[in-house]
Parts: sequence; structure tokens; C-alpha cells
Amino acid sequence: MRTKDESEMTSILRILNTGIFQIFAVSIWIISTISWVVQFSHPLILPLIIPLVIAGYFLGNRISRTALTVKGIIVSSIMLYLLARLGSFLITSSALLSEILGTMGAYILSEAVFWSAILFATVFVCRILSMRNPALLSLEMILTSILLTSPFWAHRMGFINRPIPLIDRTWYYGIDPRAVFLAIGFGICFVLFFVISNRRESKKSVLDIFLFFILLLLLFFFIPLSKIQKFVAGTGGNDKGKSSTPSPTPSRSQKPSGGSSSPSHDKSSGKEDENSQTEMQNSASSGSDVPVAVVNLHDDYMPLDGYYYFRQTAFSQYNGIRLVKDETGAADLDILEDFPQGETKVALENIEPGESPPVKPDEKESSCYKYLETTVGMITSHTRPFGLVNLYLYKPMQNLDPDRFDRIYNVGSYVRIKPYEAVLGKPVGSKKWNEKLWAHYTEAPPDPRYIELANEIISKIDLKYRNDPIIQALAIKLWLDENCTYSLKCAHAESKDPTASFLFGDRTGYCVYTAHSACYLMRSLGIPSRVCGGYAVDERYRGGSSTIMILGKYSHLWPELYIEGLGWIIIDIAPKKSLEPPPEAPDQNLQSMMGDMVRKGSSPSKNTPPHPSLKIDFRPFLKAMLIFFLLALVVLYCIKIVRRALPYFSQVSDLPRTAFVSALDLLGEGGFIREYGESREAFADKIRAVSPSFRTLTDIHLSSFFGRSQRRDYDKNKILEIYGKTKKEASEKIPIFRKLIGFLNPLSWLLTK
Amino acid sequence: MGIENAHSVVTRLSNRLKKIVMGRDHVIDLLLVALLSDGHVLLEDYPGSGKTTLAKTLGDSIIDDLPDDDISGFRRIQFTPDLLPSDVTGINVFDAEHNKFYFRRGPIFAYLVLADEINRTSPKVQSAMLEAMAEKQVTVDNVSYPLDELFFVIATQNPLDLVGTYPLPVAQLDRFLFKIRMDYIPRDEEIKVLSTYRERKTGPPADYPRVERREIVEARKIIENEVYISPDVNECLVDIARTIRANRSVLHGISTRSLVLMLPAMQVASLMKGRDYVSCEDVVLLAPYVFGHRMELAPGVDDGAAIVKECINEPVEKLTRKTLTRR
Repeated sequence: MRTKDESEMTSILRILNTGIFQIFAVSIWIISTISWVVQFSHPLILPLIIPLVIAGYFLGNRISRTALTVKGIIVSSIMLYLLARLGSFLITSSALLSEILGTMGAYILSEAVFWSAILFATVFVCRILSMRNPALLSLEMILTSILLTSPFWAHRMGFINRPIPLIDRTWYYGIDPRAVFLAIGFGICFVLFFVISNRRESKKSVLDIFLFFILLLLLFFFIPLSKIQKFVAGTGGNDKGKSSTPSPTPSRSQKPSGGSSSPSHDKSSGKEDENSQTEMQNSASSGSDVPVAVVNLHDDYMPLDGYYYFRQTAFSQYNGIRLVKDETGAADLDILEDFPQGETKVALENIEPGESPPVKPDEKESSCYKYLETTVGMITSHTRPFGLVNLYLYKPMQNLDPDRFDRIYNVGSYVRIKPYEAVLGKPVGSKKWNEKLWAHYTEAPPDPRYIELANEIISKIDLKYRNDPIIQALAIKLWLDENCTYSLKCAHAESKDPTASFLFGDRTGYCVYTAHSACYLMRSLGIPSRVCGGYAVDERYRGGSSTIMILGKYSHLWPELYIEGLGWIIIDIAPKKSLEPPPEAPDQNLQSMMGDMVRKGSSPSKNTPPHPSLKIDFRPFLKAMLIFFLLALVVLYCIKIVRRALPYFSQVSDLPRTAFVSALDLLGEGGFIREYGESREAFADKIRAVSPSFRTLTDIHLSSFFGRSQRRDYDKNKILEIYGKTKKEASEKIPIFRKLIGFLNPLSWLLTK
Repeated sequence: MGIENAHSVVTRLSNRLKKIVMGRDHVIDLLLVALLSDGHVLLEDYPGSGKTTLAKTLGDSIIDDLPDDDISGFRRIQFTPDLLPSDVTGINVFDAEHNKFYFRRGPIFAYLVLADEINRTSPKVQSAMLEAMAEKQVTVDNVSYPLDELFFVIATQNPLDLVGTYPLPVAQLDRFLFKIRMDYIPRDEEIKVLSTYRERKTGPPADYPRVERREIVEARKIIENEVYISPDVNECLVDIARTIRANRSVLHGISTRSLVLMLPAMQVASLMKGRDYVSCEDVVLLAPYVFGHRMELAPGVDDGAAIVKECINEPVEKLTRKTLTRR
């Protein structure tokens, strides 16, 4: 066994030394370094890096044949790495260099120094290792695959615009990038197929090809593309059952006995005072950077408090532990419970159902709101729609891009355009509410500490305003802003009353606790309030475009109070202290691309044909591929046939060679292939059992090649006779299945050597 | 005399030897290649492996057609540390009757000399021996005495038991065309050796004819002229040499002379296979034995033949594939 393995190893080594392989391997290294560098550094450094990668490759090959130890090489590579680090640090910190080259120039130079040294050392060490021990070649392969596929990793996180240079270009020319990805995949499959169909033993090749197809089928059926995003999408809205991201679950202990729902909005945002907006603390845990939806604004709108709130659900019923969804059916009528089939209007307080927008139910109050239409493209599936606060009109759209979007719908919302001051002095609650509804919205935990704390907070308000419930609510908000600490790590979830544990404990927690605290405090003062869930997106993330991309990490819970004539008003809590790092803005490029996709992927009518640009480039491409593939097949088969027929048409002087080549082709199809380094005579002797005449043919051929050049007086008929005999013997001895495989394999003649 | 005669000389010798010495067909082939390409052989093996039988049978197979020249067919010299050069070459002896010195020939004056355990003797004896091998003459008291044209040395050395030996340096090993490491013969062959011991004792039967000294000398010339070496083969040899020189286990690669020595050897090998042209097969067969002992190896590496086998693969493969191209 051992010797067999060794011979396999040495044969691998030999393959590695062939010219074509070298070119192939170098180009793979180059492509993978390019795909790595364009992501993590400046593309201008490529002209320096590519020659160094090539140099590293060939130097590694060369050094591997010297007596240098692997240990020494690795140590020197690490030294090189450290030197590069130092060099790049010195370049960026040198005032003189940045003076001469400019800041950007110095930065590029330092990047170039750093990355070229790293990549050079990597290629160099990898090459030496795999030249010394062919088994370590897999290391090189894994590394290049990592580099090569790195631009596509972001796709799993929903960043479908990566690699940006490629996708930008394809969109620019109106090509669907999926066709490009398919082409890349096709190319890789083709290369793999080519490699494995050229194994020395045809049996192994057949097995490999079989396994290869099984793998492809598995990939195709068990990881469908459109499902990937839905699976990775973290805490998307109310998509609780499917939420795959682990959460510091408050839900476990906070779960109501009814068990109808539990918020998974644990990854949430704490916000600064809306009025000051000086510092943003919108924190998010990792793993939920996945876009869950894209919203296109049909008109320009800047929210007053700096955040776009997308309400999806409301929790107003107190179940003894926490607020849960209303089960009476009388409250929270502005929340859509599922996706209605047709256009649906929501019962807003100030807008009568059935009226066409924009409406002015109350001349005095209507100026507080503006009617705004938006289109929402849901990427991950949600149980109910959400829309910009306050959602009034829901209108489903035809989804022309079902691979990308779960569903697309239009939303008409009444967005607030007047600040808090304008609503001061208004009564809370509604005159239309009955006793039961009032009790529903003001039921607080019986714990006396809530009312004590609420009274303590409002005792600080100026007497003039102390009885204004809106001022009271704002005071509670400001107090919570001041006294709470935002953190995703907290231990309240395990306690019996998590909100009390938070509010009367260390006041360190996230939006679930702040929202509940605010709501309970307001309710204990008799202010009707509820907790709402959905997404809150920083206005600045919109980046001037009309598209808002909602990431999973923007999910949020906030308290709301009801004001007569205005409806539910958001009073969000934004603790000033935060233990979480500030979040990063979303990818603007991806955002605008997704916005375009929503625009292209939605159709107002169900009868409009699909948008042409999405499908049209896809098919000709595949067709071209198919034609290319078929042409290649035809050419390969033609070569095969010509080689087989050549002995009958060639000149006498060339006959020994053509007959021999043709016989070799035939034997190769049957799986009889000369080993590397084996002489022709040894091979002919080896397969004497298959075809004794082949030995004669070999001798004739070799004497024509190695013998004196004047001897070219061959007997044509004799050679053809021997050739025919060889063919006959071989086809008698080769089993039918092998003959069939060999016959069908268009590349079999490439095995002839 | 044509190439057929040369082939018949080789065949006759080969048949005779293979009849007497069993299980050593490969060594016999190499030995005949060396004999006909005018080279010498160094056998590395253990005592009792049949080398004396081999050498003696070869000596017996050659008919001495010049009985008057006072050169015998076969001589064996057992090398010991106290051996002197004159014990090998011969010495000037004073003839009191004629009142002058005359040269008394040593055992080296033979067609075939078995130099047993050559590494046991002192360097000065070795060098006397090696001078004879290189120049085909011995010099005693400033007078050179030519050896026979068919002067063929089979030297042996014991790979074990190296205490008190004088290992041959690479420069001296260079005098030998082949260095052959002999292994134990296969089981079946060994059984056959025992069962045929008695009949082989009497020597080969009469139907295995001997060859004349003259025939061998002529065959050498014919083979040199008639067996064709393609320029592609020469190219391949140079490629092999370059690959060996580039190998990291080799401190000092093979010389150009060893390539030149390879040529007649390949010609003989081709003829033995019944060909009149040199093929890849001959390169593969002979390269390890011709080149294996002519390199300075890195410390810790001792199997030169294995390195050669590794290094010939690529050039030979190149040549083999070249045969498929159109001329």
C-alpha cells in the first residue's frame, strides 16, 4: 500500500512540474490574490503584487529543490511578515513620506509594502511545502479557494453586490449578475470535470465524475439559493420561529402563558435623545447584518426624530408578566395581522376606513401628518407586513423577482411632520374608547414600585405642566434616557418580573426592557400606552437616496402613547450610556442596488409581463455556453476520429508512427495507458496479454524513430496488417463497458502519451 | 563479420553463463554489456553469492586463440592489506644464468581478472590496478608492458565489514563502467541452484559453444559502427546529466566522460535486445549502473542508483513522448 501511495505521490509531483500545470497554478494564484486584494486594499497596489506573487511561486519552486529546511523558510517568512508590518507602519507614520506622496500616496505605498510581502511569503511557503510534500498541496488548494471565494462570502450575509467591481459592471451593461455567477460556476465545473476525467485509471475517473455530479445535485437541491438568505436572515421582524441567531433570550422567561408570541427584538437599538441627535448609539450584535427588506420612498421625507420607524406589531395586553399581543380583538386595529390579498386600509384614529387619501378628518390636526407612499421589498419572510409609521394603506404588488424578494407591496403611510411641541396639551386616549379599551391600554403591573417611581419622576416637573400627560410621558422618557444603560448583555431575562428586575435593579438592558419600563411607568400614571415592534433605521443611513435598506440588526421595540386626534405617537427611549460599540452604516452601494431591484422587481398589475432586463441576458448566455460546449465536443470527437483513421491515409514514411499512435489511442480507451517514465518496450511487454502484435508495432515504430534515417522502406501492407491485428486483439480483450466509456470520452486521446 | 555475428557472440556467451550461473540473468546481461563495450565492472555483494563462478565461467567461455602470448584466460587476485603492487603487475627478476633482469608477469596479465575485495588492499595497489584498467598496460621499472586488448576486470567489494578497508574514492570508481549491487537471488532460483549443483560442477555441456577472444574484439568494433544512436538519445542523456547535477541530494554531478562511456554500453544493450538502434529502454536499463557511482552525494544519502532512477524519469518521458511527434 505504502509504495502505491508513494508512487501516486511522485506521479502527482511529476504532474506539478509540467508546464501547463505551472501556468494554470500561477494564474490561479494571481486571480485569487486579485480577488482578495481588491476587497481588502487599494487596487492600485496590484501592479506591484502580481509580479511578486509570480516571483514567490517560481522562487518557491526553485528553493524547494535546495537543501534549505522548511523550518528555516517558515521562520524567514514570519520575519518577512513582521518586517512588512513594520515597514508599512513606518511609511504611514512618516511625515516626510506623506508630505512627498500625499496622504493617499503614502497609504497606498504602505498597503503595497504590507500586502506584497504577505502574499509573497504565503505563495512562497505554500509552494515549498507542497513541492516538498505533495500532500500539503491540499493546503495550497484550500488557501487559494479561500482567497478566490472571499469576494462571495458577503453573499451569505445578503450583500449580493459583491465583488463590487464585477457586479457594478454587469449592472451597468444591464446583465443580471446571476448569469455571471452561473458562468463562473460553469467554468469551475468544466475545469474540475476536465481534471478528473484525466485520471490515469479510467475507473477512478468514472467514479470521480459520478461523485462530482452527486455533489452538484446536492448543492442544487439541498441549498437552493433563494433559501440561503432566508435562513441566514437573523432576527428579521417578527420572523420568530425562523430566527436562527442565538439571542440572549428574554423570551424564555418572559414568554407569556398564552405563548402566542415573544419578541425576538433582543438585538435592538438604544437611541439618543431624538432632539439632540448628537451621538448615536444604535448598537447591534454581529450576525444580523443581513438585509431583511428594502423600502423605496416615493417622495422625500425626513423623519423629525431622526429615525424611520417601521411598525410591524404591537404589544398592549398585560398578561401578568409582560405585554403581549392583544387577544381581545378590540385593540391595536392599526396592525395588520397577515398579508391581505388585495388593497387594504387600516383603521387609523383620525382617518376613517374607506376614505381615499390624503384625507383631512380634522382640519386642525391634519397638518401634523403627511401622506407618503413607499414600496417595501421583503427579502426575508415575515409573518405580517410592516410599513412606515403610521401605515394606512396596504397594496400588494406582483413580485417579479421571487428569487430575491419574498414579497413586494406598496404602503401608504401618514408620517408625522410636526414636532412634539405641537401636540402638547392634548388629551391622551380617545373619546371613542370604552371602559374596557381604556383598561386594556392602562393596565400596569400591580407592583407599587412603578407608581412610586413614576410619581417621583413627575414630581420634578414644573407644576404648570405636571398634569399634562404628554409632558409626563416625556419626563419618563428623559429620565429613562438619563438613568439607563444600553447593553445587550443583561441577566434580567431569568427573573420573575424582568422589567422590574431591570428598572429597579441595575437599569442595564436593551430595548425590550426600556420600552416595557416606559410603558409601565406611563400606564401607572394612567397614560394609555403600548409597546410596538418593528424596525428603526437611522435617517442618515439613507445616504441621500430614496432607498432605505433594513438590516436585521435594526429591529427594535419602542413605547407609544395615544393622543386624542393624532393616534399613536412614538416616544422612544434612547439611553445615553451604552456598553455596545457604535454600529456601522450599511453599504450604500448595496442599498441603492437593492432599491433598483425593488423598482424593477415590482409590478403594479398582475398582467404586466416580466421586466425584460432581468431574464433576457441570461438565456443567450447559457445558449452560447451550450453551443460552445457542443462545438468543443464536436471538435474533440473529430480529432479522435481523424487520429483513428490516419494510418489508412498517411504516407509510408509516416505510417509506423500513425499506426502506433492510433493503436495507443485504442488501448488508452480501454484503460491501458503507459505509466510515466515507463519505456515503450516495457509497456508493450506489459500488455502483451492484451495484444501481442502491439509489441511488433512498437518495434517498427521505434526503429523508424531511433533507427538510421535512410531506412524508410517500410512495407505498407505489412504494417497495416499488424495494426489491424493489434486492433482486433485489443477489442477482443477489452471489456465492453470499458470500450463504451473510452468511446464516449471525447478526451480519451489526450491520455495517449 | 556483420552485426548478426556480433549478436551471435553475445548470445553464445549469455547462454553459457546463464546455464551455469542461475538467478543472475540481469547481472550476466550487464556483465556482457561491459565486456563488449570495453568497460570494467565493480560488483558489490556478499561472499558466496556466485561472483567467482560467474567470472570463472566467463573466463572459460573465451577461447584463447593466441596460446603463445603467455596471457591466460582467467586470473583471480584476492586483495589483502599486505599485497604489494608487484604482486599484481609482476616484477623484474634477475636471471643469474643470463646475468640480466627479465620481467615476470603478474596475475593481471589475463583476459579476465577477478579482483576480489578490491577495497581491502592499500591505495598503492589499488592505483596500480586502476592504472592497468585505464591504460591497458602496466609499468614496472619505467618499462611499460601492454595488456591484451580484451582486458576485462570484475572487481568486487563487500558492502559490509568495512573495518580496515580502503574505500575507493569517486575518482577511482570512475574507472568502472558499472557498479552493480547484487541481491540475494529469488527463492525458486535458489532451489534450482541446489538441485542442479552436481551437473553444473562439470561445466557447461558441449552444446553451449564458447567464443574466441578474436570474436569478442571484432564484435566490439562492429557494435560501435553498426548500432545507431539517434541524436534524440544523446539529447536525452545530456538532459539526464543536467537533471542529476541539479538534484539537491547530489553535491557533485556526473561528468561528460560518463555520458561518453554510456554510448557503447547502450549500443551493446541494444544489440542484446536484437535491435540495431538505441532506444529509451537502454537508457532506462543502464543509467543507474553507469551513473550511480559517479556522483558525490550529500551527507546521509547513499543510494546513488535510486537518485539516478528518479532523475531519468523526466528526460526519458520527454524522449518517449517525442517519438509520437512527426518528423
